[in-house]
Amino acid sequence: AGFNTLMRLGQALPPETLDTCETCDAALFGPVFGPTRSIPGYFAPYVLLKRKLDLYAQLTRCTSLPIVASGFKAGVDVLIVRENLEGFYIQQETLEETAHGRSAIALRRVTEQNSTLVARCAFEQAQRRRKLLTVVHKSNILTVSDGLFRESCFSVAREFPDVTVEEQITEAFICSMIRDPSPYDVIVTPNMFGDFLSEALAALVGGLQYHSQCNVGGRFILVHPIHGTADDIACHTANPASMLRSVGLLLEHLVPEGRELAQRIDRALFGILQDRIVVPYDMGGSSDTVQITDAFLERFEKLV
Amino acid sequence: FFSAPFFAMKKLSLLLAPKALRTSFNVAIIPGDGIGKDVVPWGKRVLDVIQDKTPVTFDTVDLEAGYATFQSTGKSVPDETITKLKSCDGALFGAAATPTQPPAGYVPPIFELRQKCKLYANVRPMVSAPVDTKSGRSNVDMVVVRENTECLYVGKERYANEIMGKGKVVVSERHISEKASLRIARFAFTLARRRRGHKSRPPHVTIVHKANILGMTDGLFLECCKEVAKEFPDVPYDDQLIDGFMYKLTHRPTQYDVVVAPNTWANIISNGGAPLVGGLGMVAAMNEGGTLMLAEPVHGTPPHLEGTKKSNPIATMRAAVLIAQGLAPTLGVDYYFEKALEQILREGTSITPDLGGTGTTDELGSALIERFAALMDLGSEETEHVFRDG
Repeated sequence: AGFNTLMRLGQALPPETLDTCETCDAALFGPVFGPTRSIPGYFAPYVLLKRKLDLYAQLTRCTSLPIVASGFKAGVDVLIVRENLEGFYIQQETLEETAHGRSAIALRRVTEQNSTLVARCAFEQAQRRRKLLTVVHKSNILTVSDGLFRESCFSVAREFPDVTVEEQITEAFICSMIRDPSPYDVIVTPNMFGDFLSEALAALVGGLQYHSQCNVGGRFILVHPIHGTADDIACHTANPASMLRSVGLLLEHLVPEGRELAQRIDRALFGILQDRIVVPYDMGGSSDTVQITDAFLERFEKLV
Repeated sequence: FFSAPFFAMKKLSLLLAPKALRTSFNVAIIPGDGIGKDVVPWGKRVLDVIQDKTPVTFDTVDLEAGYATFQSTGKSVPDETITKLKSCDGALFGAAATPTQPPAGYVPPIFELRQKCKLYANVRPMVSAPVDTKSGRSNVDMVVVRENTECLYVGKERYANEIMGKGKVVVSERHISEKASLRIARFAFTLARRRRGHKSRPPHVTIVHKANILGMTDGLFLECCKEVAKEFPDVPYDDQLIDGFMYKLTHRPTQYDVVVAPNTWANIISNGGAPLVGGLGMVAAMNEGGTLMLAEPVHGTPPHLEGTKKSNPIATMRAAVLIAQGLAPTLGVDYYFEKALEQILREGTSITPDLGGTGTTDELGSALIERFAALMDLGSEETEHVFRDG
C-alpha cells in the first residue's frame, strides 16, 4: 500500500491488500507518503482502511521517554483518544463561483453513534488507567456539532461512575497541555483536533520517532507510527524505535500477555539507548536503522 | 510639559508621518466579565501614560459587552455599544465568560464585535518573555495572522436526517472564500515586509493549512496565499500542514516569523504557542481591517482566577500598547513599554503567579505603569533613535 503502490499498480490500497486485511485480526503499517495537498486519485491508505474496517477510534499514548534528553518533559503519560471516521474526514466539499469570487464549503459531520463509540472506548481506557477523562471540544463555537459530541460523552459517563470526567475547550486545552501535560490521563476529542494534539504532545515528550498510533474498531486493530516518511532523512538512517514500539502496541491490544511483552520491548529499546550501545541520528549519533535493530534484538532476546 | 522629548516628538512626528498629524483619538474601554474587569483598568492606565507624556490624546468611553450584559439585556453586545464604536478609532476589550453550553441566542461578544466592525484580520504577536516560565522558550519572535471572518466560525450547523442506527447527525459548514483568503494573505505578507526593518532575521511567511484532507477549502486558501506571494518576491514563504506545524512549533518555535492560517487553525496555533512565550497572560491580539482597531488579551476569564485579583495584566496592557501603536505609530511607545516590561520582569518582585511570582494584578500593573512612565520621561536620544528607524 502507499504512494509507490499507487504508481505501480494504480491504487494506493489494492483490493488484495484490503481483502487480506479483512481476514486478519490486525495490521502493522509503516509510514506512508503524505503529500501536503490532495493529489487526484490518491487516498492515504490509512484513511481508506479505517473507513473500510470501521476503525472508529485512534489511540495515541504519549509517555515521557525513560531516557534523559534535554527539552523533553518528564512525568507524562497521556492517552489521546480521537474520533476516527467523521468530522472533516468525510471529505465532502464543494467549490463554486460567486459574484465575489470562488467560495468553498467543507462539511463536518458529527454523529451520536460514533461519538458514543469513541467515548466508550475512552472511558474503558480511563478505567484501566488513572480514571480521569477530559473531553476536549469546541462547543462554544460549534454549539450543535460539538454540543452533540460532548453530550454523547457525558451520556456514556453514566456507565463509568468510577471515572472522573471533565471538559475543556480546545484552545484552552492545548495551551494547558503544552504548558504542563502531566495532570492529564485520557483525552477524548473529535477527529480534527485529535489530529494535531497527538503530534504536539509527541514533540513535548520525546519526539515523533518514538510514538505510534493504534486504530481500533470492534474486530480489527491497525497500528502505525505517528510520523510520516520524513523525506529529509537519508535512507537507512531512520530510527526504527516507533516501529518496534508499534509491535508492542499491537500486542498490547491483541493478546492478554501483550502489555508485558510491550514493556519488555520498551525495556530492551530504552536499555540499549540508555547504555549507549547505539546512538541514533536524532540523538546526535550515527547508528543506522540496521545497527539499532540488531542491538535491540540482541537485548530483547537476553530479556526473554 | 514643555520638556525636550516632548518637543522632539512633536517636531519629528510632523516631519516624518503625515498621517500622524491627527493627535486626538476616541478609544472605547470594554472590560466584559470576570477578570476582564480586573485587567482592563491597567490597559487604560497605559493609555493615560501615553496621553500624559506625548501630544496624543485618548478620549475614552466605557462600553458594555459580555455574558453579564447578555443576562441583563438579552444581547452580548447591545446596539448602543455598536453605535458608539462606530465613532471610535480604537477599542480595548477585556474578556467574556463563555459557558461551554451557551444558552440559546448567546453569541460570544468578541465574535459579534469582529463581525459588526468588519475586522477581518486578527494579529497576535508572540515574543519570548524576558523571564523564566514553565515551558517558556527564548528567542521566539513571531506573529500569528488569523483570518477573522469565516472558516468554522460562520455559525452554520444543522441536524441532518438521522441515519439508521447512527442516532442524531449534525453537519457543520466551514466556509473559505477567495476574497477573504486573498485579503488575509496580503495582510500577512505586508506585515512580514514591514517587520523586516525591525528585526535582524529575514522576513518569512508560513502558510498553515490542512489541504491534504480539505482539498477544496484549504486548497483554495493555499492557492490564494501563493497567488499573493507573487506580489512579494522579497518575502520567502513556505506552507505546512497543521499537524506537522504543531509538532515543529513545540519543537522549535524560534524558526517562525509570520504565520498565516484560516480562522480555526490560527486560533489553535496562537493558544498552543502561548505557553512558549510566557502564557496566555502575556499575549495580546489586535483585530483590524475596518476603521476600528480592537485589541484584547487572548485569554478569557477562567473561573479559577475570578475573584483572586492575581490575573496577569500584561496581555491587556500590551493590547493597549497595540492600540496606541496602531493609531500613532511614529510615537514608538511599544519600545518603552517592552523595555519597562523587561526590567520589571527581571526584577521579579511584583510578578503574578502565572509567571512564578506571588504578586497581584494591581501590584504588577502599578509597577509596570510607574516604570513605563519613567522611561517615557527619560528617553529623548532613544526617541530620536526610534524615529530614525521607525
